[in-house]
Amino acid sequence: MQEKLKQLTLGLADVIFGKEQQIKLALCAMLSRGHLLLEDLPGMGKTTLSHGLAQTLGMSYQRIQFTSDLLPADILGASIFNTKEQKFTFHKGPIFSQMVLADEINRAGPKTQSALLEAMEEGCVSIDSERYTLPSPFFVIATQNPQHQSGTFPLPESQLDRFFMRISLGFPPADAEKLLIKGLGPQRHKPIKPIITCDELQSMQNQVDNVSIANTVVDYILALVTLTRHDRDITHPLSPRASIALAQGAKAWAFLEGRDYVMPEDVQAVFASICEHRVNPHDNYSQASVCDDILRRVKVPL
Amino acid sequence: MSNFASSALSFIYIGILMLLATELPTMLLSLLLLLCLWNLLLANKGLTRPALLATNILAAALLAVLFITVDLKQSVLLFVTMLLQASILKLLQASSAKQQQTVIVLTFFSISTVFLYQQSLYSTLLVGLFFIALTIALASLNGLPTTRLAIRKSIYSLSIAVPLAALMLVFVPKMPAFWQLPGANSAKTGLNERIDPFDIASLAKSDELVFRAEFNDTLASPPYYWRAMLHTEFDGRAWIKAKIPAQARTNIDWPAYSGSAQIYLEKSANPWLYTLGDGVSRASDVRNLSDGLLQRKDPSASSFKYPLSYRPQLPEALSRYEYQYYTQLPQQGNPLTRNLARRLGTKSNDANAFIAELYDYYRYQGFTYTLTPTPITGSDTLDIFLTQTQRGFCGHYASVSAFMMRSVGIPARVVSGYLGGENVGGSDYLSVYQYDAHAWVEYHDGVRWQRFDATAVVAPGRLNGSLSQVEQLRQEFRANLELGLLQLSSFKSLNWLRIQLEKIDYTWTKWVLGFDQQKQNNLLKGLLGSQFAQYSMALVVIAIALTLFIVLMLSSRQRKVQLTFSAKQLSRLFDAAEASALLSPEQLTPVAQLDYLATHTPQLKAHMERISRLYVQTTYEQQPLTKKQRLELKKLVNKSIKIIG
Amino acid sequence: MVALLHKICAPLHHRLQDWLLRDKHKTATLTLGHSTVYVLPSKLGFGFLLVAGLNFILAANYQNNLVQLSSYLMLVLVLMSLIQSYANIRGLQLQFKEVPSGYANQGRTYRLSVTNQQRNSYAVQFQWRGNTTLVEKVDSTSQDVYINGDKQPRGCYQVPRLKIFSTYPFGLAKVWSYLEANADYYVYPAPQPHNHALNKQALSETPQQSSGALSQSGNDEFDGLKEHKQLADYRRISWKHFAKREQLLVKEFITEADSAYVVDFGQLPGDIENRLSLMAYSIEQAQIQHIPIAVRLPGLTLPSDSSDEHYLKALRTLALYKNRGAIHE
Repeated sequence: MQEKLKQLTLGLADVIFGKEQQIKLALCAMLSRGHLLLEDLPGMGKTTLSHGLAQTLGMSYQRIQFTSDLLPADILGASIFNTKEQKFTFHKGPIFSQMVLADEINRAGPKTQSALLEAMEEGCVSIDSERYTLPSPFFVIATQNPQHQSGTFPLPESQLDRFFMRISLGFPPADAEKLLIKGLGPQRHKPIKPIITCDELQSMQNQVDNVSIANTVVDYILALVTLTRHDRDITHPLSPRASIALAQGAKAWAFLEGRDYVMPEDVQAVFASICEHRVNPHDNYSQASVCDDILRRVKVPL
Repeated sequence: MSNFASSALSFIYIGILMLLATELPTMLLSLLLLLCLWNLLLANKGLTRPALLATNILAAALLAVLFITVDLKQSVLLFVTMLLQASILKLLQASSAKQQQTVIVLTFFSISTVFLYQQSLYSTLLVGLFFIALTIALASLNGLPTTRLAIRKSIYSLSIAVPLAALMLVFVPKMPAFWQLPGANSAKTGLNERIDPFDIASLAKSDELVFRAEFNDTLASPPYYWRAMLHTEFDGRAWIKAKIPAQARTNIDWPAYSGSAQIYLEKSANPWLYTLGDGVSRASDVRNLSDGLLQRKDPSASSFKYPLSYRPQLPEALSRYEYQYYTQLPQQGNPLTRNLARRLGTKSNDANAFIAELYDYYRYQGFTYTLTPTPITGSDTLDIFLTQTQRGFCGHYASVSAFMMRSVGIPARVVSGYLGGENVGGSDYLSVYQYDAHAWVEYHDGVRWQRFDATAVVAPGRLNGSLSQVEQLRQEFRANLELGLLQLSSFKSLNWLRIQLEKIDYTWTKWVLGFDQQKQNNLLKGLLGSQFAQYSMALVVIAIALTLFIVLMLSSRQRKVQLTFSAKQLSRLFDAAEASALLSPEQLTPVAQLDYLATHTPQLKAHMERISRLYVQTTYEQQPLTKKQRLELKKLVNKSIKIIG
Repeated sequence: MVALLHKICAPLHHRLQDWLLRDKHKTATLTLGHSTVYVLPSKLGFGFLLVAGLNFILAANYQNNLVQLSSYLMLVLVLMSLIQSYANIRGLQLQFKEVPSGYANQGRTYRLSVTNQQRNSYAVQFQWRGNTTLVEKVDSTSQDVYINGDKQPRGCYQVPRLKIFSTYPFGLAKVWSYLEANADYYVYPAPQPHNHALNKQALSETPQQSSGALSQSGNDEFDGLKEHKQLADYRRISWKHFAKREQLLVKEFITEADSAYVVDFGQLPGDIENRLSLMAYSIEQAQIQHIPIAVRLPGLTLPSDSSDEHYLKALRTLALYKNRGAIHE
């Protein structure tokens, strides 16, 4: 299984250059059955990454471009009257696939945003008092332009909490970008072969659940979370959902590291991605610096 | 937090007022209580406090009430009341933590004034509670995060401070009074300088303790007639104390006074003291009078203790002047009584025969003893008592008897004091209560002063003990007693409880309240030997310094953390590394820290890697170390510490 | 009288304090221990001792053991407070972080981090420039403490001493210490909003003779008017001005390469402080919009740049310009 994992990472590295850390975090979210929020400027490879993930994991893939006039029905699907059969039939929307890329989610209105987020949370869609279960595994990668760009509806804090992780790709390192410019980068149109199957992914997810976590590490997570609740610089402290996510993320990270036990290092590795978008610091502090600060301040228990 | 302090202070002041309730005028008391309740309301409802002007007007009004209701001569009471008023008004004003702290400090003085009036064990315990509450309030105003911490700190501090303070009380040499302060002269006793029993409808109401007598050798045998005052002049209605004070006694023949006792007086503002028969005292502030009585030189309200030596009254001839003095009566009044006396007088030829006639008269003419006599008003009260009501208590019988004796030329005087005393559970001391107040007659039979007590024939049991122990009067007595433990004495267990409490209170009075300079000297000499007694102060200083040092040491203990074996080893290693400044300044995980050590101190590399492996195995992989591995870890850590050091 | 006394005593007091403290506190990190902590009864504590004394006199005069006991108890309580106050604050670790520079219309904030690895410290107070912040509990996790100071006039200041004190547990004893970090901070002139547009100027050292009255002309490259010299090109003579004033003025054009937006002291109205405030506003705005600017003060020119360091340097220059007490205590 570890072999497959290595192949997977390498395969993805072929798709997107110089972003090993982010690829690992994205895999970590998938192994934890969590959804991913990618926040970056346009053109940084958000779509490439999500596409690559879907392909290598052998999942069905749909991309929804969010615009300000996008309606909930455009995502979920709608019942349309079939004149032949004289009854309504449900036409599934693009959300009914294993991996959904919700591109520029903050360009759509709040109503549409929450339709997607609700589906993410419930794992099913209810239309006309009829429930339609979403496929399994189901994984959403939403991309978001940085908040202050004009014409955006920022996601409210309560909905941000539903994303397991937020990562930003950032600019590629110089030598990677050089290759990209020379056209030696990954070929866009070359089909990517699936490396693992959905079943394998699911068994990996089960293995992650079995990674053991020691009391000291739990104490450490607790200390980190508690600090945000006493800090006057933070208006939104971390919720219990965040602590559970931290533990789960740390397990997945340990699994990716090839271990079956969690170390404090694993918690530190995923802490920023899991917690940055969940805390809400006061004005002059960025979310990133607050999270750094928390890590710096809490002593790792022996 | 400040609400807590304010409410606590309200309750404390309510408590103080209750303790002083008997001293303060009712109107003032209720006004101050209302202010306390108002403050309680303000503190808990968060209402705005009254403006300064309003408080000043209130203060002026209260001061007016104070001057109207409190006798200006009672300077101590005046002072205490003004202090309480000022503190309560300040409390009403105090909104900030700082103001409330000031009130608290002031309150430490207020609660001390309670002790001027109340010193019983129970009031002391109550004041002790106030003390705790005050320290908690102080702590809670001081930015402590939780009230629980404030309570813990207060109780911890006091539990150390109280024994130390007690030590100081015992060992720090006592100071004499700096200057004379006015006494709190409002204490009440059952005795009065004027004996006029006829308009009294009920007696024996108070079960307040008057004094305790501790007999040095053996308990004297009853009856105990505690003499306090002589009433030598009859003004037509009442027997009053001699206007001319008795002479101070000179050259006392001490060995002749065979009996001796120690008297523990409860606080009293009265000058008179108590003696059995003819008494003298060696205490410097007691005046020994020529009539065998004792007086306090400085009657202040505090409790008092004096040694008493006593003996039966000796033969003593009366001068002509004295004979005249002790037989004079008003010219007019009470003709029936005079007639009766003359009639009895004709039957007898000397004083003792007359007395016997008088006893018989009381015995056979249907006189009864009661605590609830029929009040007699108007003139010739003695006649009405003798011929009509014929019911009365000691005062009645003593008044009438002395009058009758004088009217037939027998020198006589009324003595007031206490009769009896309760001997608790076979101990060597007597407790004398206000309800033991008594009056009797002394007549001179030509040789010496003799006692005549009509109560002996009317209610013979009264002579053998305290009023509470006389079976005959028990019912009546109880009916007249205020509700107290004594009233429930028919229940056996309650009676037992009462006796136990009484014993505790006795010990309290004797050892705590009565701990004076002389007792201290004796104790110090007994404990330290007479050469070293003077160094007791040094002893106290050393003891306090030692205790505070221990407190400091105890509070320096580091935070307790439950560490596993491997964590302990690691923390030892890190402590050593930190001492040598080898540790990374950043917060690193334990494993990263070990890595850091390994890279920065190459000779540790192999050790660190192994330690890291073992630590990860036991802590994160949760596979316990084998015995061998534990030993290995310990050795590795020790070796590394050596390298670091 | 009191003021006079204070005047005489204050410097003496300062000197005495300096001598007593020596250099123990001149550090950015400090762990409180017996050599760096001072303990005395607080004001309230002295009041408390006074009441204890009153109780003592009362007790002696009435020979009242209970009042005596309470007076002793109060004395011991003060002693206990001294010990506990010290024990509480011992092991407190202080680390100076910064006093961020800022504008004169904002107060400064002192930032430090505190922790106590050995035990919990309660009710610790930090006093800086007259303001006090209370931290109820300090434990093994380090926490940041902010103490706000009042506004100050522009300039560069050495960070004033921070006083750390606590009256835990009863307010009867006071322990205190100081932290004197060796650091500076700048107070820039308060920015004053205005609508004097920036205009482009040559950055050469040619003396400026006219002020920017033409700044709104709409011609970016048009910079100003110069007195006509013999060699000047006739086509550049401003005939409009000649008609009005009978003076030959030359229209000054500059090339894009050596010109930039200049925040110029000389072109702004008002007294020194006012002008500096206007300049501070311009620099602040330029920083927000990332516009390269040059700054010109009499006798000093900062070349055009748009880096954060540049803006910072510009503001610092303003803070120090003609500021006699540039570095304050």
